[in-house]
Parts: sequence; C-alpha cells; structure tokens
Amino acid sequence: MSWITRLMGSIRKNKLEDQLDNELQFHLDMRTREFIAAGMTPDEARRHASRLFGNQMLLKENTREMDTIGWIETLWQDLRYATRTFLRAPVFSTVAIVSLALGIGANTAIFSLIDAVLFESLPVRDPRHLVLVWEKPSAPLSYPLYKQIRDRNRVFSGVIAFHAFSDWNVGTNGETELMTGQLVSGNYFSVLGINPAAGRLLSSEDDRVPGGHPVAVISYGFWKRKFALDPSAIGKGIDIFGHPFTIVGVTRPEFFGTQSGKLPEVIIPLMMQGSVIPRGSFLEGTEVKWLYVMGRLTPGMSEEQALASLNVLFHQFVMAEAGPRIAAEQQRELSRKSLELASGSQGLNDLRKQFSFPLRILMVVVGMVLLIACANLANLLLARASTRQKEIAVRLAIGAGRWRLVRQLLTESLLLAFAGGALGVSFAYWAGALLLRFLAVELNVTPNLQVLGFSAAVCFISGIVFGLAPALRATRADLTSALKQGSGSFGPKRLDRLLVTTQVALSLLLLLGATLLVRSLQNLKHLDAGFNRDNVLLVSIDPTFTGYEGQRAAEFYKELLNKMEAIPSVRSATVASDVPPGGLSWFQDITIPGATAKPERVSVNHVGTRFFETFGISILSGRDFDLRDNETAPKVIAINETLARHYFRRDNPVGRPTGLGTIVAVVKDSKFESLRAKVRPMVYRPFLQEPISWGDGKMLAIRTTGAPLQIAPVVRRAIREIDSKVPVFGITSMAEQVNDSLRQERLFAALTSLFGVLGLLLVCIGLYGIVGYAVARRVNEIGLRMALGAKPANVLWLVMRESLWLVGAGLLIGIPAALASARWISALLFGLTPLDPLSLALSILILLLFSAIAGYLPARRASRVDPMVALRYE
Amino acid sequence: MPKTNPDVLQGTLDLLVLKTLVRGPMHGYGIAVHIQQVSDEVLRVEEGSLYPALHRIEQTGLISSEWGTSDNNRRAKYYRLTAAGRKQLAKEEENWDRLTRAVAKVLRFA
Repeated sequence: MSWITRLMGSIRKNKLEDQLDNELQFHLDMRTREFIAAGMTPDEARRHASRLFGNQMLLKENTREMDTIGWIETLWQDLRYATRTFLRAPVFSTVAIVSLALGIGANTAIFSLIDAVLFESLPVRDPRHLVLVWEKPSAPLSYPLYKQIRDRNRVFSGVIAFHAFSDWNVGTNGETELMTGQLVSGNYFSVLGINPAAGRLLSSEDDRVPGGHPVAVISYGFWKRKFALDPSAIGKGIDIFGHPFTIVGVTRPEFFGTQSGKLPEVIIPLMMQGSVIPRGSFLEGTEVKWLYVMGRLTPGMSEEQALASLNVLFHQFVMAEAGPRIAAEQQRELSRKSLELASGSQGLNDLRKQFSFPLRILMVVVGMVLLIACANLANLLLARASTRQKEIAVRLAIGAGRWRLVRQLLTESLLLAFAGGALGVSFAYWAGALLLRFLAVELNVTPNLQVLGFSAAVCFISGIVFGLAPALRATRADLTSALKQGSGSFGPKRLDRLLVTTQVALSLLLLLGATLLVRSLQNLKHLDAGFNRDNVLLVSIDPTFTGYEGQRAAEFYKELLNKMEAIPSVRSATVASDVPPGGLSWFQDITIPGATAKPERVSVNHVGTRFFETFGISILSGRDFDLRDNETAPKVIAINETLARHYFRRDNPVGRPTGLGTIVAVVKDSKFESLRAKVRPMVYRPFLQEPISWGDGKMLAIRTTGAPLQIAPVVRRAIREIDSKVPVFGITSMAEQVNDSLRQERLFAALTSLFGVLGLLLVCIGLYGIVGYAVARRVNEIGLRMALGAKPANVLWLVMRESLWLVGAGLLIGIPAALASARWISALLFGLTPLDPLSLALSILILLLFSAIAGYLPARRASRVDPMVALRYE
Repeated sequence: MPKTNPDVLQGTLDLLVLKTLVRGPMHGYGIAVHIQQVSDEVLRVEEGSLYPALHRIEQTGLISSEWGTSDNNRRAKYYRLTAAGRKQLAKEEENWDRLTRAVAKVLRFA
C-alpha cells in the first residue's frame, strides 16, 4: 500500500532527499548540455537550464510531498524543535509544566470522583435493565410479597431480593471481628451475572428451607486478609454470631454488591435470616418489610408496561392478604397502594444524593484554578513570544506561511499541556485515592477510559486556550516594527492586562469561597452543642443479639454499669439509646394534658442514671434520673428546652404529668441529630421503664478522668467477663465521633483552602513575571529617568502603580462576581451568610497583601538599577 | 503546456508519461525530451510538473523505478511501466479516444 511506502519515506527522509537531488541534478545537467550544444556558453547554458526548473525549493518540496506523509513530518519537526526550546529554558518549562500539572491533575482527580459517584453503573451484567421495585414511602418489601413477584411476574427474567448491609460478628480461626454482611436471595448472583473468583456462589438451591443452608460467600478482601488467598479456604468454617457457616465461594475483587460505596464481606442466603437477626422469622408475615427487590426486565419490556403488570399482581396480593371480609373503606384505601419502579443501574446509590452537590462545586473550583494556570501560561508564552519576535519576523519574511508558524507555536503549547497533563494525571490518582480513604468511602476508582479521555481533552483545550492568543499575536504581519528593537508601553500590553485582571478576579472568588467554608467549619467546631464532648468513651453494644430480653437485658445493663463505675479512672457511666451527634432512633407519641390536643410524635431517648452528668448536659430545673426510677416506680421523664418552650411557654413544667410520665427535669438543648440541624423537642426516659426488646442496642457512655480510649481494653474485658458472646460493635471517644460527623465539612474546607492558596500562588507568580519582564524591557528608560534626577522611591512607585492598577481592576470585577456566586454555596455554610462582610474583607486583604509583595519585588529591582549600567544596556 | 483545468492537465500528463514508457524504461529527462520531440515542440513538459507527477504515479503502482546508468555514464533514475500500468494505459487511451471524438462531434455541430 502506498501509505506504508510513504510512511517509510517519512522515516528515511534523508536518503530520499539525496536521491531526489541526484535525480534532479541529472536532469539539470542534461538540459545544460543541450543548451551548450545549441551554442550557449557553459555559464549561460547552466543559468538557462536552472531557470527552467523554476523555484527549486518548491519543486523539491512538491515532489517530496508525494513520497512522504507530510503532516507527520512537520509534526515531528515541530515537536523536536519545541522540546529543544524547552530544554534550553528549564526554569520556564518547570514552572509552566508544574502549574499545568496542578491544574490538570486537580481537575482529573475531581472528575474521576464525579465519574465514579455519578456515572458509573454497578459492575454487574447489563445494569441498565435492572429496576428497583418499591412501595411508597420507602423501599423495602416483605418476604411473601417478594415471593409473589418472583414466582408470578411476567415482566422480569429474574427477581432478586436483598437486605441492607449490617454489621455482624464473624469468627474466623478463633478470632472474632466485626464485618459488613448481607442477606441475599439464592438467585442474586446469577441474575446479576456475577462470577466467582473461587469456589461457587449462592444458587436457588440455597434458598429453600429456613435455617437449612448455613453457607456463606466471602469477599476477595476477606479471603486475602484471613486466608491469604489459600484455595483450601473453600469448605472451611466460619461462625456468624456464634452460628457455624461453611464458606462455599469467593467473589471477585471488583465486586461491590448493590450499594455503591460499601462492600459486603460476607454474604449468606435469605433463609438464614434467623442466625443474624434473632427476632423471630421475617420470612412469614407481611408486617416486616426488610427486603430490597430488584428485577431484570426481559428484553423489549418497558418500565411502564412492567409497572402496570406488577401493580395488577400487587393488588391481587394485597386483597388476598386483607382477607375476604374487609370494609369498603379499607378496600378503597388498599386499592390506592401501588408499587413504583426506579432505575437499578446504580444500585442503592445514596452517595449520589450526598455528594453530587459538593462534587459539582469542587468541579467549578478546580476549573477556576485551571483557568488561572492557563492565564499564567498565556502570559508567559506572550512574553516569550515577544523575545522571539525577531526570529519569527525573519521567518515570515522569507516566506513561511503564517498558519505554519501558528501551528508550530501551538505544537509547543500543546507539548507543554500534555507534559503537564501526564504529570498531573499520575498525581491525580494518588490524590484521589487519598481523598476516598479520608471520606471512608469504598469506590472503584481505577483508571478508566472516560477519565483519561477527559484529561486528554482538558490538556488539549488548555493548550489551545493558552497557546492560541500568543501564537496569533506573535505572527502578526507587522514586520518592520518587530525587526527593530522595539519596546512597548511601560507595563504589559492590553491582552496581558486583561489576563491578569481576570486571574485576580477568579482568585478572589476562590479565596472568598475558602474563607467562608473555613469559617463555617470553625463555627461548627466551636458551637455550643449542649453537651461536653471531652473525656467520654462510647461503646456500642447490643445484648439482645445473643438472646437477652426484657428483665434479663435490664439486669445485664445494671451489672455492666456497676462494673464500669468500679474502674478507677471512671467518673461516671451511663447508657443511652441515642448519643449526640449520632442521630435519633426512637419516636413515641406523647399527650400533655392542657398542652396538646392530640398525641404528638416526639423523639425519645432511653437513658440510664447519671446520663446528664456523664454527658455534661446542664439540668435547668429539676433532678437527674437516679436509682429510684426503676421498672416498678412511677413513670418519669425529662424534657429538653425546646419541648418545654413549645408546650409550656413560661410555666415551670417540672411536676406536670404527661402520657409518658411525670416531668422531673428540664434540661438544656443538645444537638442529637447533627451539629447543623436545629434541635427538636426531646423526651428522656429511664431505660428501665421501657421493656428492652430485640434490636434495642444501647450506647455505653463513660466519662473518664483522663484520655478515654486508654480504658477501652479494660472495658472490653469487663464486658467479656459478664458474657463473652455479647457483641461489641465499636469503641470510640465522643470527641472522635463529633469530629467524624464533621468529616465532609473538614474535607471541603481543606480542599477549597488548598485550591484557594494554589490560585493565589499562581496569580502572584503571574504578576511577578509580567511586571518583572516589563521592567527588564524598560531598563533603558529607568536609567534615563534616574540619570535625570528621579529617586529610587519614585521609580519604585512608578512600577508598583502598574501592579496596583491591575489588582484594583481585578478586584473591581471580582467583588461583585464573588458576591453573586457565593450564593451557590450557601447550602454548605453554617452560621454565616454568603455575603459575610468579614470573610470578604479577609479575602480582599489576603489578595492585596500577596499581590503587593509580588509586584514589589520587581519594583525594588527596578529602583536599584544603576543608571550608568542601564543606559548602556541595549 | 497551457494552463488549463489542473485535473485534466494532470490526467493528460499521466497518459503521456505512461505512453512514453511503453517503449521501455526511461529517465525523467528522457521522457520530457521524447514528448517534446514527438509533438513537434508543441507540448513542453515543465520540470516543475514532471517530477511531482512521476513520484505520484510511482506511489500508485503504475510505474516502478530503479537507478541505472545513462548513455553518458551518469547515474540516473529510470522509470518503467508495470503490468498494472499497461492495463491502465489501455484504459486511459480508450477514454481519451472517446473524449476527443465527443468533443469533435460537438465542435462540428454548427
């Protein structure tokens, strides 16, 4: 094929050139001989012959074009030239490549997160045909309904069901560890199209008899950690909450299950529900709604059709359940219930909801940083281009096409862009992984085509963006002025000015955002949350998992608290069902005679004695719970300020009776839900006055005299002494827990500050470079001025005026822009409005300070110029 | 050659080159001289068009080249017609015939 020959021609260019020269020389010589034979002198003949050939250069080029692939050659030429030029200016190249690396790397990192959270589908077969079947208002369905859908549907090729992830006590080789586990239907793996890494996965055979299939599938990570990838692990036993299970298979490393961001380590069949949820069988009645149901649509089936068919099935089911004798009203109500379908391609994706907004903001932020970096590069290239003005003018004069030169200059900027991009991308993967670890999210963020394609596109566009303007400017056909040693106005020309002004404006935006978020974080950290978070140890524990209930459970807790208080460095110990800022779990109805018209729902916290003391919640009036308030005593409650204010206004509530008990105390408000949320009315009840049932785990809280985590091993031992089978779900300190709840805010504040500082740095470098360069070009004039009597201070002011002008113009544009766009992040702020004057003033001040320094340094150099040296400089 | 439509021009030049090579391998200079002489100096191939054309036609495989020695013992690049070239030549000659006959008919129609 001719293109192969031509490719070879491009590669073996020199040989080709020689041959062509010879060929043409021969022809030339023959013509010359002709003319000599016709009577001309040898010189005349030669001249005449040459003239016949016309423009030899052009002829050679045209001919060569036939033998080679033209554009590859020019590209290769340009690249080599560009590389040589950059190697010769190492400082410039390093600064350029590093700034680009930071800008492009940051963009890539954020984009890869966005891609994983927002776009990636489940790594299962054909996720687009998966749908989640759910019933308003929340997703889970009951087991009998699932069976009905599974067996009688006409729209799915397979229907699976699974329970949400939960924490299980798993024993391997004698060691017990808390792991994430999941209950799934037998056909789970086959419908999702997942293959094992070793052994086999669950099948429908494992889903027949309740309690009859003690088999488990473990994750690849589990296999690696506990069995070192030993194939004989298949068939070994593990125990879950003390119940024996046999390992039958291992999932592959890339398997993530149906909830993105989490990874189940142990998977067992639905039928084994009794082993991990000891509260009776969920496999019978329809009251317990515990299963997420997903179906794979048959090919060609649309969601609407499927939904219609499923709802028919659903109504039959509901009617059958209700029984033959139901009132018409009930019937009507039942007929209004219906199923819904949602896309299952991303599984149960809470991450999307949680992170999509912050991620989008981050994307804008890194985009701005990249723009600033590009502006810097554009300025740098403009400056360099004007030093090469003579060279370019000469080339244009001897006939180089303007576009050819522009292409060459663009190749240079693209080379910079891709070099910076390559560096940036490798740094991005490292940074992205770090980010994810910090967020405690497990996502499959490995190099994938979309992200790499995105980076390449960013490199390319940046290269063009910052390269085009300088390239066009440099090749303007204003040859005569360029060929003379020219000097422009003092300070940069219009384009540079515009760029710097824009950079300053963008930088202000970034700084304002960062300042606002950092201050929000400070506000959150120093918030009076209504409780004392220091020196409190939290232990999450649930004896009902091993069968404790009612009176036995109460005794367990009593013994536990006694043991705790016996430990030397313990000031006080208590239990609670809710701990701030972990969220609220219990709700009950309360009636207050004289204050409520009908029962109202309030959150209830079941706590032990000395609860308020342990948590440092001030009792505003009344008394703390004590040993008097046990199961036989009259029921008492304590209420928080908000509840008191709501129902009692200014009256003293202590002593008033309510449906849940007599009020014995009013306590200060505490942030139970989260540090940000408003405090809701809350009722505290002695835990002994509510029978303890399954799933009613509590948090043991211990106030210590010293560092709380130090007594953790002692506490564990004490619990084991009472009953070694009771699962301990986690031990942490209150301070850690509070800090944890602020994780996202902390990350955000850190990231935006990082990017803000980065942007500021880039602006300062840019400013320094531009002003410095202008000074260098105007050294003559400075010398002249000084020789004529200007003092160093005057010169200093002359130069600084320029930079201050630029920054001022930038601020003029930037301030309104910043105020307008700060509104977008108001959802992330706490305790501040986006128009917070202090933050704005702070950002402006920081910007002015640093840009003043950046402009001062070259100005100082200018003022130190020796007039004699300067005048001689040409 | 007069400056007319470059495509027609190019096609015609190709045809002349191929035809010239029917008689045997020839270098560029020889081809130019041959065309010049046989057409009684009416057709003069410009060097500027000849060499690009030769190299181009070579890429299409209709002619091939090799270095040899000329009559006056100089090294020169000789071009020869390939089998594919011969077939193409026959086709081109036929096309040219049809074209000129058609043009003549139109011109004769008064």
